[in-house]
Amino acid sequence: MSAVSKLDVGRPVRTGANLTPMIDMTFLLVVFFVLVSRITAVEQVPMELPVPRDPAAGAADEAPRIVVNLVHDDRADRRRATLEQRDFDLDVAGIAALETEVRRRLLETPDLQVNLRADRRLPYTTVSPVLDALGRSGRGTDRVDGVRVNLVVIDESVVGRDEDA
Amino acid sequence: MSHRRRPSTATGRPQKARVELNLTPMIDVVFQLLIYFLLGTSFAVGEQTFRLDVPDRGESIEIDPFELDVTPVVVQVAGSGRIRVDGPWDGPVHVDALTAFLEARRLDRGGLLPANTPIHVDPLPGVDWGEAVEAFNAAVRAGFDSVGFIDTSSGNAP
Repeated sequence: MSAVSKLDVGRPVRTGANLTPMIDMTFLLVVFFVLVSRITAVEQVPMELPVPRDPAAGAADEAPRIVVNLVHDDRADRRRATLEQRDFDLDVAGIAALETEVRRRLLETPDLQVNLRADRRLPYTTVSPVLDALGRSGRGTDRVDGVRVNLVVIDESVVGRDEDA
Repeated sequence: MSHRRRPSTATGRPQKARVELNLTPMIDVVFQLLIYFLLGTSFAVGEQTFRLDVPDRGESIEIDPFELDVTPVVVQVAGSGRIRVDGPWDGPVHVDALTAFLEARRLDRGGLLPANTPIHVDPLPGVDWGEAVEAFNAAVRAGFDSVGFIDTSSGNAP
């Protein structure tokens, strides 16, 4: 782009768009999405969550929380609980290790909540020992009402609205 | 980066060499990355949570001797939508009717059950998590404050 200078008649003036702020913003957005996609990949393990009709559930609040995932596998011996990329077997030793790990985190963060994401195809008998372990993990942490567990479900009406948009 | 010497001007003095950084390919790549992450990032769309305070079932608790026992309502979940609600009533047999049934028995709706009556969802062996949550949701939707799971099949009843 060029124009004629009013100060120095006859000499062309170089004009150009300053791209620096745009590049800054773009890099910030890229960094944001890189970090967020890593966090969600760790916490939001792909699975089929329960889809209750007309759910009475609400949006999760902003309290600090950890996410325990229970992923379905056709073979019962391959089923695992995951907590931030660490796998726990669903046998007695594995569930005890999960309980210890959750207790350690509950002691570190007083108002910590536990989000339980369990695949809807899992038998309840697989989920129940994990719920019990989460309850026991509050032992010695001075939680009068027990451990706050959030059962994660999908509201299909919200998903439908987002897909339509 | 381009680095070239311009031809001499009419004065005979050579122009200074211009050093330029070509930013176009970098911007192209950065925008490609941006679009990739915009499309590829999936947030927890539609995820909601039920609050559940899980007590330690093995720990001893202090009981107030003057407090009256509140008999819980036990909802047995048998799978394929079938349920059974024990009690002095003709209870529903399908989970679709559970909300209306419990709502009608709330004290503030002319029933006998206070809103803090514990509702225990008891999935039988073989019932999957999705069906257990469906019954749990129906009880919460009926307006009861204390809804939880029990597992009588493994002896983990409260």
